[in-house]
Amino acid sequence: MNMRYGKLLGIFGSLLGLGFLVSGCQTAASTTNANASQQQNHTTSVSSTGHQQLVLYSAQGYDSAMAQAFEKATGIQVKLDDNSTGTIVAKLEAEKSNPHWDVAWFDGAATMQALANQGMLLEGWKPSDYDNYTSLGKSLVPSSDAYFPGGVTAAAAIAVNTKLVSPSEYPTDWSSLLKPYWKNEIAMNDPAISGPTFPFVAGILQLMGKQQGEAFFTRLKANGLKIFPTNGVTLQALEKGQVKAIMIQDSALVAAKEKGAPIQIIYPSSGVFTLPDVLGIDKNAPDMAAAKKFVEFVLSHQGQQVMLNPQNGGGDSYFNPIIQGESPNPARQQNGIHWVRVNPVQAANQENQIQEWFHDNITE
Amino acid sequence: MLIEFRGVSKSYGDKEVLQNITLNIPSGAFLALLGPSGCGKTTLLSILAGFQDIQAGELRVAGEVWARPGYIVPPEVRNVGMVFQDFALWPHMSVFENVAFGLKVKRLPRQQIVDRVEEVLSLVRMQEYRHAMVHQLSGGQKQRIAIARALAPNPQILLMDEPLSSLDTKLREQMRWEILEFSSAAKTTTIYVTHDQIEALSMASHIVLLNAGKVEQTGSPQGLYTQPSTAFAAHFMGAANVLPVQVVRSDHSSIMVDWKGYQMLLDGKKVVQRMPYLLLLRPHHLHLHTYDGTVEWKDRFHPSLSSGDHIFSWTGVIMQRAYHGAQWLYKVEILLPHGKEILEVWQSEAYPIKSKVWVWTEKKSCTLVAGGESEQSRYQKKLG
Amino acid sequence: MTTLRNKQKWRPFFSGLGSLPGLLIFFLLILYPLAALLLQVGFPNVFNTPISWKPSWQPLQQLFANPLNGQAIVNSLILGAGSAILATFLATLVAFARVRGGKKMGKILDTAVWIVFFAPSYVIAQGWVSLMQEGGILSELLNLPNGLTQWFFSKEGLVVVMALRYIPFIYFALVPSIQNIGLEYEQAGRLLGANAGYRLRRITLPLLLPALLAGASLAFAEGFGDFGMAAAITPQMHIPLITYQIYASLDQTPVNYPSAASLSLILIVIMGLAFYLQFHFLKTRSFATISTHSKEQTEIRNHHRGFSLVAFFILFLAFFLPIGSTIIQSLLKNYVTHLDAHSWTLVHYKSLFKPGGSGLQALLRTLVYALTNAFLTMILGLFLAYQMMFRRSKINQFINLLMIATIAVPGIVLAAGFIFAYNATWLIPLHFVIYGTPICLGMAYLAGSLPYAVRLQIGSMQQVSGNLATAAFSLGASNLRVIAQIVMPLVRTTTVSTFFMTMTGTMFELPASSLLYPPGSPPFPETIQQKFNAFEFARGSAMSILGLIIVLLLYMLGRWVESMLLRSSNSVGVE
Repeated sequence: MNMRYGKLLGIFGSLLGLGFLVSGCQTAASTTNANASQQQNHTTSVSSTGHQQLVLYSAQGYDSAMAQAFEKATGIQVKLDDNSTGTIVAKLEAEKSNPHWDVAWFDGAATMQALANQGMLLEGWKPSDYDNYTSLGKSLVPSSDAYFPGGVTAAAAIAVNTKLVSPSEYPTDWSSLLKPYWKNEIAMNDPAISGPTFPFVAGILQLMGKQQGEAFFTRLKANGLKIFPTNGVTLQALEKGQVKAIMIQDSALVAAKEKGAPIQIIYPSSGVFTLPDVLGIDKNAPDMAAAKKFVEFVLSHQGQQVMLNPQNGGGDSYFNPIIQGESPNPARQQNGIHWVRVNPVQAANQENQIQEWFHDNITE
Repeated sequence: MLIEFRGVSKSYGDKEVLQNITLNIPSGAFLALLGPSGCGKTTLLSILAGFQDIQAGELRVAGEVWARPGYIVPPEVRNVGMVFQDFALWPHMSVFENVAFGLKVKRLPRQQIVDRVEEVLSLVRMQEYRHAMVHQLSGGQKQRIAIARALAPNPQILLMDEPLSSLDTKLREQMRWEILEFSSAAKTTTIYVTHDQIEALSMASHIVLLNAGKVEQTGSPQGLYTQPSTAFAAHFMGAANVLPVQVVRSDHSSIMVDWKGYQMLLDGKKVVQRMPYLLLLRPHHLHLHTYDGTVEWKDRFHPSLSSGDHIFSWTGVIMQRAYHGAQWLYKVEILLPHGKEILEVWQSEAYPIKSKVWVWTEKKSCTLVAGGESEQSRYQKKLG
Repeated sequence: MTTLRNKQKWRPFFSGLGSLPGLLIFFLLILYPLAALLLQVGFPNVFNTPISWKPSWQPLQQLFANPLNGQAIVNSLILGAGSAILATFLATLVAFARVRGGKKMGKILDTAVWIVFFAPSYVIAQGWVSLMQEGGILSELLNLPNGLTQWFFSKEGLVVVMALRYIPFIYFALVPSIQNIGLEYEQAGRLLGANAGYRLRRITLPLLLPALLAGASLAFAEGFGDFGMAAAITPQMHIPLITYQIYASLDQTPVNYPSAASLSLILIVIMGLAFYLQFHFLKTRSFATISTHSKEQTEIRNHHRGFSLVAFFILFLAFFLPIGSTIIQSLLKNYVTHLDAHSWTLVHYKSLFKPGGSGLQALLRTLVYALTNAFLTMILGLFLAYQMMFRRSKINQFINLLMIATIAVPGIVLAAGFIFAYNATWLIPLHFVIYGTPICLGMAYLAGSLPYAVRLQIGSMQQVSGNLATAAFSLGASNLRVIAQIVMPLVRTTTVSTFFMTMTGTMFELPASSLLYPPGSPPFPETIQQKFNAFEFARGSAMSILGLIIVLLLYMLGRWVESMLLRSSNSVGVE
């Protein structure tokens, strides 16, 4: 505790120093220089004291637990920047000319692919435990090896309110929702706002083909589809009976069910769309060695166990593991999920166009 | 009587600003409400306007009750015009719009409004400014427009709250004549609040002198000036030497007073003996004459002046003097049998400082005012 | 009456050197970071690897090619104007209740309006959302059927919420103006037979017009550039707004800084225009005031209870409703489907005080940031405002203008500018890459709060006669002495307000916090936002409320210290 206060005092002191600096006083220059050189030490990957340091930008729920576990396992200090995916990408882009980060970790291969397209990610390196991937896992690794999945969720599954829908009425596939029974009783998220929803829309267009896919959403809209901004709101609408069925990310559904929501999760027979959490390494990572170690740690049994514990990751822990020998949280359906891999390159290229179409034709 | 105040009292919290005011104001009067600041004259005006309620008594106008405790006729329906201290002309309106405001409120026909505005503007000789904006007018012009605005709806009472106090001296003198002219032409009853006794004396037909929330004296301007009933009134109505004296004896036609051993026989009715009285000597009623040393310094009368019964004279020394153009103001220390006294004297001739003089006055210029030394000193304290 | 003109006549003894510190602060905090971002409008690849100085029209072309951007600008204009008009109406009611309601009422209303002013925008916005959303607290409390609160997530609803938010801006402009209008103006109308409505229409409101326009243009600028509201409420209603477009171009993939920079430029230009108008209106204000000789004049007023009630109702809507809903939210168990006696829990607060917990750490961290920033903002704000008011020179006036224009810059834009500016490759040889350090975040906080502080201070210094300072200078007093002994005591209230406004602001500042915090040491607002992002509304709300309580306690402490100081200085005065 004392250490912590000392640190706070340090911050206070340097900020005061800043005050003097900006009011034209010379004495503060040394303070600033000290900080700047500390920064430089870090940039040259290994600090003079010999301690390694990993700068992790992450949007995953279990990231702080993982950071602690990694520190414990390797002795490498982790500096975590826990933010939303959007903010992380904004930072990565802004730091482009002088990056501070080693590893970035968030949901959505398409977003990561866009970074890879700009040449920001390390390519051509494979983690030592690569072979532990299941075949689904391997299918999610791009040919350039620019990023690696840590687990996978379904971008969307269907959930029904069990208090309002009898088992005989449960949908079996996406197209079941076009029946008059579901008129005005279905909801999903806005892909422009909710991160996992775009892969779902892109997946439907890929699965059914562009024309058929667009027709599917148009007919859903005609059947009274409601669009809410994010998982939380859509889930609430289902729980409160405002709608009888929703299509959102399956891990959020499992989490809600675990907390007692009266819902049944259904994986449509034609397939659900892979939404992996992906790790990318900065091409100019200040601490490349630590970055590589961290990716390997995520794929290890030790790392997976931390990630799979809902105490650590909340809803994010209900993912489907893609490492051999790891089993998902028991709350999650174990088998019989038909995975459809969304092509991240294609999705990244078409994102603007798809988003615009969806906004103009479905959201509005 | 047009306006009747009957025992009106008003207080803010613990502070009683008006105590038991009873006044009768005849129709057509030009009445000056005179008094020092804080005497309650503005409050009295506000009660008449309807901005203030009263805690006791009654206000009637033309027999109709306008205010009594818990009841008030709102200003909007009183038909009272008012000229404010800083005119309160609306800066976002033209002269015409300002003057026409009261007429528009009454929803008069357009032509009637235009005609009436022209009429009052011509009364105050401001027709050519009808389209001007307020900020383009000089102080005197604003004053006239303020009067025109107040007069436009033909009010039965015109209230003026120190209307000249924001003008410079020169303009103030000129506006006195004009206000008299406008108000007599409009034939309204005018209540004019001022702290300037010259304004009150020169303009009013009636004066009400207020002091500390009470009516000190009412009467005509001459009455108040020549026969003040209190030391306060004596001081307030003009420059005065007010001197404590003792009544030695009095009968039906004369009073003998003692002023520090100097005995004076004055005209007057029998009064209670041994009571403290004040002798009022206005400075312009005192005269100077060079003392040439031929007569005994302590002698009672100057020999060259006429018979002693109608003249009082004393010897003295000029202590200070100030030149005021039309006359000199002197502070003269005079010698009395039992002491000295300093008098203010106005005189057109110049006398050097330290010169020895006779100070004399006529018997008819000496006024006796009831009240003692205590009242005198209290008032001087207030001035200080 | 003292006017600004007095001060303009007054010539500074020396103007060149005195401006230097102000200029440096301004350059480091605002000009350089902003330029780093806006540069990308014309040079989109300045911060790419490799750096390219090739100019390009592409960002602006792209900007106008996307029809959403055009719509967003129009929507923001409509929303800004709508909320400005409504806010002006509401603030006028409150201001009249304040001036006409007697002393006690005045104090209560003043305090309530200050609270609304202090309240952090996004906590308010978050409160509204949890109150009004489908199945939200309102529908739970009143058992509303679905769809009844849906109107709220529309342009109209947003206008209402934003208008409530901007009441203080207009209120502060209006109250002194109403007080300065001579009572005689209205009394003259009464005696001429005009009733209250007629007087209000023809006399009072026209006289207040400059102040109303000044306040309204400020509210418009706020509404047009509001970020917290847009970020919290817009996603629910599918209406593009310019601030949200900026946010989207930064926060949604693909990230597009040149586009954000171009939109920011438009935002700055339009808001600069609104601010210019506001100053223009303020300059003409003098015509409405009156130099009253008799201050003691009073008038009986039927203290309109109704008026005060309406004012309280408005302020209740503006603050207590959204904050109340945040409080309720913070006391709810997770996944409560309907409210009853078993829905309540204190667990969200308890978990905050878990020793060594991340929430507590972040809170302590942010307290240090907030106190430091409030302190620096207070001092520098006083200093800069003083420079601009009493040391008039061309440079100072220029800084003043730019400083005020930067109020128009949304926090996220400035924060992004800070990344580019203080992570730039040309700083590497200078060892001045401060991005990623607490200093950088602290500077961004300061950059965000300083312009507001300067503006507030200038406002209150306008009431101080320039002759007071001149008199001190002629006696040979130094700048510092004049500030400390003459200006400071006269603008003490504003100075204290500045401190606490900045504290609250920093406690809940989001854009800079999330973009600039040093990895590993998240500040408090960032951890709150993480909770909201993870749909832990109850936890996030509990943290917001805790933050507000701390600010409130500090504020009370500050007032107490102030009153103690006042007492001691009075006793010195008597000796």
